[in-house]
Parts: sequence; C-alpha cells; structure tokens
Amino acid sequence: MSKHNQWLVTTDSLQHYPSITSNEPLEKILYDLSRGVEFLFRLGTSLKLPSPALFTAATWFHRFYLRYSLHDFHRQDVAAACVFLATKTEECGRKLRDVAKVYHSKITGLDPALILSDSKEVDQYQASILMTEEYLLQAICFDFTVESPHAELVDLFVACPDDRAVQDYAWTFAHDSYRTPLCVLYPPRVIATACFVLAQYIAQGPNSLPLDSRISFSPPSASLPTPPSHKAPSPDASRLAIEFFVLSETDVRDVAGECSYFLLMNEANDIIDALAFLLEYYSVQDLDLHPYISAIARVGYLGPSTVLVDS
Amino acid sequence: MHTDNIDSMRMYRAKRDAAHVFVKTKYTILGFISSGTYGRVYKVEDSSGNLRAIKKFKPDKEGEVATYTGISQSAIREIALNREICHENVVSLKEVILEDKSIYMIFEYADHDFLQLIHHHSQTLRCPISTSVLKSLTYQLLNGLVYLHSAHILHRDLKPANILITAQGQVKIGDLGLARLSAQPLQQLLLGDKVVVTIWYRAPELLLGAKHYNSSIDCWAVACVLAELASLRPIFKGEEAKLDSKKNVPFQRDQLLRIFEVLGSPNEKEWPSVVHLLEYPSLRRLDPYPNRLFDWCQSRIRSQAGYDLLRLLFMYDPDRRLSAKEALGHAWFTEDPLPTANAFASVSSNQIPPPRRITQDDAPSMSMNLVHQTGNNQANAPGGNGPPFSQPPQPTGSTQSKLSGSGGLGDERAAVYVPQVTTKPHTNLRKKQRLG
Repeated sequence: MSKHNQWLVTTDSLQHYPSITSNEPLEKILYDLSRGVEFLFRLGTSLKLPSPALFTAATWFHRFYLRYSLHDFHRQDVAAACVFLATKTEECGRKLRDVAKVYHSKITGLDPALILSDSKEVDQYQASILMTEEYLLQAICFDFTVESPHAELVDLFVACPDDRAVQDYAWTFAHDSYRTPLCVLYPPRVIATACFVLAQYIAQGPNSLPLDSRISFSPPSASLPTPPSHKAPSPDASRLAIEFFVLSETDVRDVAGECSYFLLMNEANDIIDALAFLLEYYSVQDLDLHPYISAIARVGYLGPSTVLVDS
Repeated sequence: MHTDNIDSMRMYRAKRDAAHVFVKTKYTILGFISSGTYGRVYKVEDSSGNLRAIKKFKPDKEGEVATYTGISQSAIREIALNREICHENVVSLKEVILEDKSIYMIFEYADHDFLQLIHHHSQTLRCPISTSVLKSLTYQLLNGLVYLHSAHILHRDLKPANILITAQGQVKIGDLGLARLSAQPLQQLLLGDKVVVTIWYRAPELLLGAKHYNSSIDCWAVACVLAELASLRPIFKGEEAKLDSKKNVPFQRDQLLRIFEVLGSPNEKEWPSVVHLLEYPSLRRLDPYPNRLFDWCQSRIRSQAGYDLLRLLFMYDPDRRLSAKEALGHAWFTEDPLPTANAFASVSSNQIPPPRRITQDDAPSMSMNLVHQTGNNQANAPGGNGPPFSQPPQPTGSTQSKLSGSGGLGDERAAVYVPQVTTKPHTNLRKKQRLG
C-alpha cells in the first residue's frame, strides 16, 4: 500500500505548503504545525483517548495542512476537529460538547469541571469544530484508515523483547515524529525504523556505534575500528531494525517480483532522511525548557542526503 | 498581515471549487428507492450509463440545526470499512461526496434484494424459491461473509433487506452501517452500541445479554435468512420489547420463545457458558420446549444435508456454531443442485422478480432535476423544485441529452434544503426493513 500512497509528498514539496508566505517561511510553518500537534495531543490526552486515535488524528492534521492554510484554519480548530473525528473512526466516541469543553479549558486554563456545558464559549467551540470537520473530511478524502509507525514498532519489539530502554525511547520518538511532517513524507515502516535506530543509538550512550553504520545496508566492514570499550554493543543488535526492515520489505517485493538492491538503497536514504528530520526537530528545541532532550539534541546528525533547509 | 497569501489562497479555492463534483451534475437521479433512519437511497445513473445507488445521509434532524453534532458514526463506519474492502459478494463503494452537510455515498447498484425476492415468491408467484436458487444465494452470502470475517469485520445487521442481488444473479452484502472491526476489541463491544441486529435475526447470546460476542452472531443471522428464504416468512418472528425510559435493555422474552418453539430450550449441556449470561435467571423461568427443527425442515428444506447445515448454524453455543467458512464447506453445497454463480441461472426470465421499484414523487431533498422514467409509474412531479424534464426512451448509454440539455442544472450550489415529508404508503414494502 505504502508504495503508491497518495498521502506521501517529497521533501521539496514542503516548500509549497499553502501556509507559506514571504514573511512566514517554512520554518515558521513547521513550528506552528508542531504547536498544533502538541495541542492535539493535549486535547486527546485530557479526553483519555487511546493512543492510536491520537496518531490517526495527528496524521489527518498534517494531511489537512497539505491542502489548506494555517491562515484560513486555526491550528487549534483543526486539531480539535481531528480529535473529534478520530473518536468516531476509532470507536472511542466522545460527545461533541465534551470535546468543546476540553478545548475551552485548554485555551483558558480553566478546570473543565467548572465549565458550564451551555456556556457561550462552549457553543462557539462546538460550531468551529463542526465547521472545520466538513473541510477536514474533504481534505482527507474520507480516507479514515491510517497506519502509524507504532504498529511497526510493536513488530520490532516482538523481535527484540528484552531492551526496555530502547523500546521506551523508540516509542517516544515515534510520538514526537508527529510533531514533524514525517507522516506525510515517509511510510510508517521507514519512520519506525528511523525511531528504532535512533533509540538504540541514544540508549547505548557515548560508546554507541555511529548512526551511519547502523543504517547502511551492507554490514560495517571488519577493518573499521571497533569502539574502544569492552562492552561494545554487538553489531548484530545494532542492525536489527535495518535487517528487520529489509526482511519485511523483501517480503513485499518478492510478491511483486521486483526485489532489487537499488530499491533498497532508496529506502536506506529515506530512513536516513527521516532520521535527519527527527534530529533536526530536536536540535531546534529550547533546551532550557526541555533539558531532558539535550542528549538527543546534541546528536545534530546530518546524513549524506541533506534535508529540508535550503536557506 | 497575510496579504500576499490571500490572492493565492483565493485562486486555490476557486480552483478547488471548480473541481468539486456536485452530486447532481455527475449523476442523473432516476428515482427514489427507500428511506431509513440513516437517510434515503436513490437510484441514479452516471454519465457513462452505469447505474448506481446513492445513499444520502441525513444531515441531522431537519430544521434542528442546534442538534447537528457532526458526521454520524454510522456514516463514518460505513465509509471507513467500505474503503478498505473489495469482494464480489459485498456491495462496493464507488465514491463519497460531501455537500451541504450531507454525506452522499455512491454504491454499485443492484436490482433486487432478498426481501424483495421473498415477497415476489410469497405474493406474486405464490410458490417457494427453488432449491437451486436458495442454495446459490446462501452460498454467495456465506462467501461474502467469509471475506468480511476474514477481514475481522462483523456485519451485525444481516437481514433479507440488506442482502442485495444484481440483475446477473450475484449476491451483494450491503449496509455496513452497523458493521465494525472485531479483532482484539479493547473495549467491550456492548459498550458501543447497546443493541445490535434486527430482533428477528438476533442471536440468542445477544438476546440473553452477552457482553462479548463475535462473528458467530452473523452466522446465526445467515441461518435465519436461509430459513426465511426457504419458508418465505421470518422463522422467528418475535415482538421486540422496547428499551425503557432509562434505556435499559429489556429481557426479550417473546423473541426467545419464538426461537425455543422451533429449536427447543437451550440447556447447560449443549451451551455451558449460558449460565454466565445476564438474563440466565429470566431464561430459567421460561417453560421448556422440545426441538422441532427437523420437522420444520421436512416440508421446507427437503434435504437431509440442508437440515444439517441449518442445525449447525443454529447451534445455541456460539463457540460450537458453524463459522461462515465451515458452512461454505458443508455437504449441502456439494450435493445436487449445485450452487451457481448466477443465482437465477436455473430460473426462467418471467420468474425473476422485476427490477427494484423506484418512485418519483417521494424524493424532495434530491428532487432538483428528477428525471421521469418512461414507462414507469409517472407520479406527480415535485412542485417548485426546478423543471423536471422527460427522458427519451433509452438504450443504455444515451445520457448526453440528460446532461447537456438540462435547464434545471444551473443552480445546484444554491441547493435549498427541503424538509422531508413522511414516507408514502407505496413504500411500505421497503419500510419494513428497519425496525425500531
């Protein structure tokens, strides 16, 4: 399915976001989108939605802004409409009024329990959610079924059940991937692989194998210097995600009868690009506010293919 | 502030609006088919002459804008599931259009349905459905159901009115409005919808208040449908006990008694888990009945294997009930007459039910440019909704005149919302399909 996914665009086409203007460049748009997804996650969490509903809503959010501008549709309205629609497709229905109340409380900081159901503001939020829902439905072409990198990660976790730290990191990275437009750039499997590789790299700390060698599709040659530590991580484990990726992709390819090294190299570049995108996102975060991501932000890795910034 | 962007957005919007496909431009409405709680169904034709059925969901209760709470869960489910599936025995969704807060789902069209066929045999022909047709229909129904179940989809509303047959005698399972995914439910299925399946086709575990259920409820419904095709009347025609004011689900005493009269009372030996069901105490207070299914089948199914299939699909214990896949492999389907791909293959053309009846005067909310079918019952044109124009006697495909020659097509954008009138008596046949 992901091969001919109409929802995946090239990184170049991000330059054509409908929201971009001369004084609001791509960086500003990406920043606003990440704030929108942050709001979406907060809404969904307060409504106690299951995670898959949040991933679906966040994916729609990104798809929506491929077609509409942030100037015409406020990110918070769109986030709330995505959440409301997701409660319906993911069989975790919430009342429109409740979504509107939580929306109101997030904006005002009021305790939702103190917000009157029939207040004028709640009515207004309901109206804007419904208005936005219509545009949303058309923007996403009624394509309700969405896949997330998390589902791919679960498969990977089954393949390596023991490393809890890696799993936690990877899971978090996959969450954070929605704060970037990765879900409209790469299929879930590519994103999952990037998250897992990064998770292993971070979890193993300073003696970690470099990211490049974790991703290359040929195993690192024996002549490369090994990391100067007696507890050097096993190269096999470090390549688990990639091998898993190749395996599952090859499965698909064999059916289609078009397995080739060339195609796999393209995938490798996609994984590197996705990884770079994620790292770039972390590198521009405010480390004073979020000191716990400093280790990741410091990686600042940029692979062979350059991404995004054209300055 | 964003001046430089306004122009490009305006252009974008103009382009998008120009590209928007309006239901009434793309499809010629031939007539009204039926209505239900969800909305209305119309028979239409596209510009290539393909027949389609358009299901128009109500935006909400007419006139009560205040209660509009967004696109309905039922529409969402139906669209979400239909977009992911494709099988010859399941009605396929061609397109979805959103216009004026209404969802229009465009499906492939089928001329008949099981309910219509049953009526045709009971009212017009006054003779039973032949074993060959009966078996072919059941086989194809099960074949579609195997597909849905293999995709972890529970239909949850199988009944004769929801099972369509094309003019080529191919069965198409329709109406996934209650359907949902069943794989690894994170919440009890009961929590979502308190009541599923029209009462006559509802499995005993649901009637007895089971919190968890699975695809076997659809298999029970298939057995009810098979029995109804064979006898031309519902096998368990019970009275539904309505929800009380607190929306508590009542004990469905009458429906259970109708079942027990044929199948006998269930006992713990053949259905051990029955003791855990909510209504088990009420069940024990009912009089015992013996199993009479064999006698019931004597005059109606006329085949030992046919009786056996029905017996296995009517197993009380959901875990022992035949699955759709097992049913498809049952010996009844390998004995003569064998099922045919065209269910009507063995039927002379004058025995096949006439195409679905459509009406012209009962479609106010989509009546902008109704086309009168020549030769059909020419009912009154709806007043004031634009000039209906007559259609030349048509070999299929001659649709140009309809699209280009119309004076009534100009102003779809201004589509005025016309409140629905209550359904006319002549749609009684179709109205029965939705109970409650």
